[in-house]
Amino acid sequence: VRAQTSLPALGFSLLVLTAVLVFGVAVADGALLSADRDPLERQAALDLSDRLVGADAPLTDRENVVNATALRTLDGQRLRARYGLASDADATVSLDGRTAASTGETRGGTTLTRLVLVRVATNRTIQPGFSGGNRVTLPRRTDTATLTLSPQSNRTITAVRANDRVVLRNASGLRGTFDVSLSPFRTVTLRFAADGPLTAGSVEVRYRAERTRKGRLEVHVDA
Amino acid sequence: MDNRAVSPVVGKLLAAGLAVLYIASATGFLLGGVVPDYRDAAGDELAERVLATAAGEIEASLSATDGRVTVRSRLDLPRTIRGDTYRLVVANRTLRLVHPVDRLNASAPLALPPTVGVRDGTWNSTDPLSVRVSGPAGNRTLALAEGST
Repeated sequence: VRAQTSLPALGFSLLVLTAVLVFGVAVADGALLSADRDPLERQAALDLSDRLVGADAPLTDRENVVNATALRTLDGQRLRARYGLASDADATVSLDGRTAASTGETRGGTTLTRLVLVRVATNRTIQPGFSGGNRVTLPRRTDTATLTLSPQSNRTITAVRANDRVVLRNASGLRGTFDVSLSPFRTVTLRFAADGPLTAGSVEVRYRAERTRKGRLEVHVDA
Repeated sequence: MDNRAVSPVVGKLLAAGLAVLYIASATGFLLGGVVPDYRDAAGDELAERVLATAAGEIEASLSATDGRVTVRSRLDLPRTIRGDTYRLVVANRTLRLVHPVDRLNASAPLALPPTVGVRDGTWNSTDPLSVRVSGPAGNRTLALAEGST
């Protein structure tokens, strides 16, 4: 074994090779660990959020427009019964950070955020003052209105027009409460045809005012 | 003193032998211990992803159209996971992935409206997969269908 001078070099190179091997395995391990996501959980969250904001969902008025009143009726039981959640999964639905419904505690898990419109509908009543003629303009997207006509005794309202379309007409005079349907696609101006200027209080208009605001709908699923 | 010239030969043989021994043991260690674990782990991830994709595509094949429809949608899924073919089984409104390696089995509930009936069925990964949805709006039936178109 005299003069085997190349053996130490061989040993050293094998040592280096081993180090490279260990390093490679460690890197592969890290890559594999960092790729560990939960696509099934994500899919569950995606399904749930899709069905919450779908066009024919019970919570929405149209696609992606959540009805605030309907959302208040959502609770954990309905969430589980209606949306096909796995029995061992928990979900929390929250709007703008406030929890709307939860089936249980969700920790970790996957969160999906959607931008939605939140629609709030309120009934409003106005009594036009008729200072600029016998007309009143309603906010846009008003689709129905209830008119209560009670003109002063020496005035007769013969017709009501909405943007030139006649919606009410009676030659001998209109008096009482009427429901009229309006086009929600354009701003409606109601014009009252009367035999003189009307005073404040002779017409009362009740309509549904619709307001929408943007909201963040968060669906959190812990499977 | 005739065997003086043998020394370099012995040296080279020794070195070569050591190198072969080392490579053999390293290969054995990798293929015997590390690689199968990694294949399982990667297969596990892939299986979950395939299942999630399949569930999503199956749910997306429902159209919102009113009236009677017949929809066939084709899905592109890998033929093998971890080197083996697998099956997708629809039973009881749940999609299951069945694989020879037990660790890769997984299941996901199909989130479908209650008006949609789901027919139980099995798909083998060697065949092309398509989803068939048919029926009127209130009573759709969804089934996995093997077939070309």
